[in-house]
Amino acid sequence: MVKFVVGGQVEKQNIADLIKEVGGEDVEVTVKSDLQAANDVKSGKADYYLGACHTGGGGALSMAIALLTRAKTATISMPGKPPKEENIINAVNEGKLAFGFTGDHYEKAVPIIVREILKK
Amino acid sequence: MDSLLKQRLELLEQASEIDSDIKNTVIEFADKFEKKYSLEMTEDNSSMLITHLAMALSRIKKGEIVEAMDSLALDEIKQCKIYNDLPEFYNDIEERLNIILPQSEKDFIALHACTLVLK
Repeated sequence: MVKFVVGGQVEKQNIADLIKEVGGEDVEVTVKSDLQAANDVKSGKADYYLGACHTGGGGALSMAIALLTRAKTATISMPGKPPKEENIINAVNEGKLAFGFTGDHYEKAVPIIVREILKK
Repeated sequence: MDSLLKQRLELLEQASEIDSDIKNTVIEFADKFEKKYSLEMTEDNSSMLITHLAMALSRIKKGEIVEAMDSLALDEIKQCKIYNDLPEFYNDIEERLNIILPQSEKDFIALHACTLVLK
């Protein structure tokens, strides 16, 4: 069972629903504020953080960066720069724990992130 | 600005994601915004604006650029009643930090500021 927590600022419930849809019985998903969500990963209550905002580099990941360090986070997409599967695979394999993307890219980003994490 | 919002800024400063000039500029922005619009900025209503602004200022200081917002979304933001007030806030920030805010960043700040006032 992999524990996901959804932080960020936008599309939170949609992201959580999609994680559950892709991961099924293999995942547990909780929606929290970005600060609480990042803290859950830091304290071991959750395994991975996903979050979206309008720029991908603002509210999606900033508190995760502050609490988990930049080395454990990956910005998966930005405005006009959709997620790339190869970058997500690399980020997961490098051991990143928090993934940020723009709200309009969640439908593309989330399934790849969840699938790659469940392969580990 | 409530204590949880200040805690956000302090965490970002401790992690070296923002410097003390940016932290203080964001606090001054919040003070002025609260007075002008007679509202209290809290974790519930303003975490998006405060976090976004702090990270945007850090990004600008580092010379990183974000792409422009979708034009349809921007047209909607321009209808917001406070949109035309915002340049005075941008001017304060630019003078305080000795930077130029790119239009793309102004648009994203406006998005969050308008959302807060409309709440």
